[in-house]
Amino acid sequence: MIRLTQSGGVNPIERYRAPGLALCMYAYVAMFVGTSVAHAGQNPMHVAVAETHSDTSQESLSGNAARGTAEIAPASTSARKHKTFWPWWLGALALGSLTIAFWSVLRMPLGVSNSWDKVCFWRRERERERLKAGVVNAGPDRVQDALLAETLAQFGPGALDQAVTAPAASGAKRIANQTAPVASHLIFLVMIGAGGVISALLNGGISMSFDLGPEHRAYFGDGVLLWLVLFLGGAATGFGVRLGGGCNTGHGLSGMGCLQVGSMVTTASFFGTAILVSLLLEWVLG
Amino acid sequence: MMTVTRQRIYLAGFGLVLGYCLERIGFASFNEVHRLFVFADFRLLFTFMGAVAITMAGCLLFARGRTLTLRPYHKGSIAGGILFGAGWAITGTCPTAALIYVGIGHVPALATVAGIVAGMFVYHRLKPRFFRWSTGGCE
Repeated sequence: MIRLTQSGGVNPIERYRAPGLALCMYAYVAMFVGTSVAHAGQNPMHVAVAETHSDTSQESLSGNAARGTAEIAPASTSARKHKTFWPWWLGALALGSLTIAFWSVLRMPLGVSNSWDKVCFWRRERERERLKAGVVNAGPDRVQDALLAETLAQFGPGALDQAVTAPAASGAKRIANQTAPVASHLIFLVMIGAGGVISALLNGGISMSFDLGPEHRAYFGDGVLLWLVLFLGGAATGFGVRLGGGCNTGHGLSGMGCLQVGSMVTTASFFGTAILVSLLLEWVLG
Repeated sequence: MMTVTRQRIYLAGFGLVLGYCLERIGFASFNEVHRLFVFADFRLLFTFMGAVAITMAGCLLFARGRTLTLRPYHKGSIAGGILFGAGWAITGTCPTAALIYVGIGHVPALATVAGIVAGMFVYHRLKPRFFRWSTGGCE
């Protein structure tokens, strides 16, 4: 499936790298222009909906409003006002182009659970890095001698001439999937959180709350039960993500995008389960 | 060759953009995620499907004959998906969004983060005894 070396010719990744990045940049510019357009379009719509409501049933609206405020008021510590999200096409454009750009620049598949894994088991990773450095420090000569002896034993002297004249030998190294040390993964995770914070600050502000929004509060309250449920749910997520080999970025985006069988099975599995469990929540607790 | 410093700068930039996008899309909001799963709102579903379609197009365009990741089916695929799906539905949090929840002020999301770490440690403990297969891709 993965061909690390290209025999002859310019390798397609190198050829399409610049236009690919240009396309992604264009997508991002379009995205931010689109955001303002979408916002400009959304606000009048809310007003229009409110007006039609007030036209049809004045009484029920006031009733709803009263009930709504009564319901929301206790939980309003968590609810940010007038929170609007991106329309679907904008989100799709953002996530899709991000996945491609990530791989195109960093030569790693976008996968966040992998970063979690690396950060959680930093001790193991440090050991691995040390071993790798040990191989490198052993000197290229020793490694090369061993490789040479093995090559001669396997293919005979003629193989050496071929190897010397083979093109794109240096390109192979750059195409191979890269890995990152633990600290880089930690930076990545922290910056994801920071990005979310910036987004929230720019759109409605941040307010501290002891629940996950009014809906979650309606299901699990805001006491010990909530913390317990969240911890157990988190444990199921962490365990399942490692057992399945990826989360919704690794499997859902970069795996499904490449039509990988394992990713499709896992994605179908977690989406289906999430739908079932959510419907159960609504029926049993709602 | 990419140096570690450059890699870190790129990772930081991509992390920022990813976090920003996820928050703006609504993946860090239990309400939105729950509405996706009970089919009250198709916005997030279309977002996800559109993102996969765009990634597919990019995969065809930029990585002909190659794959971004190699993820074969293995014995843990379905079971892992079931566990993750249940956790996602209950907490509204995928591993990516967990830190965003904490960042935007939902204090109990700290329990989710602790749970994710605990789950990974439990898996790590049990793996040599019960799950002796490769989960593919990035090990």
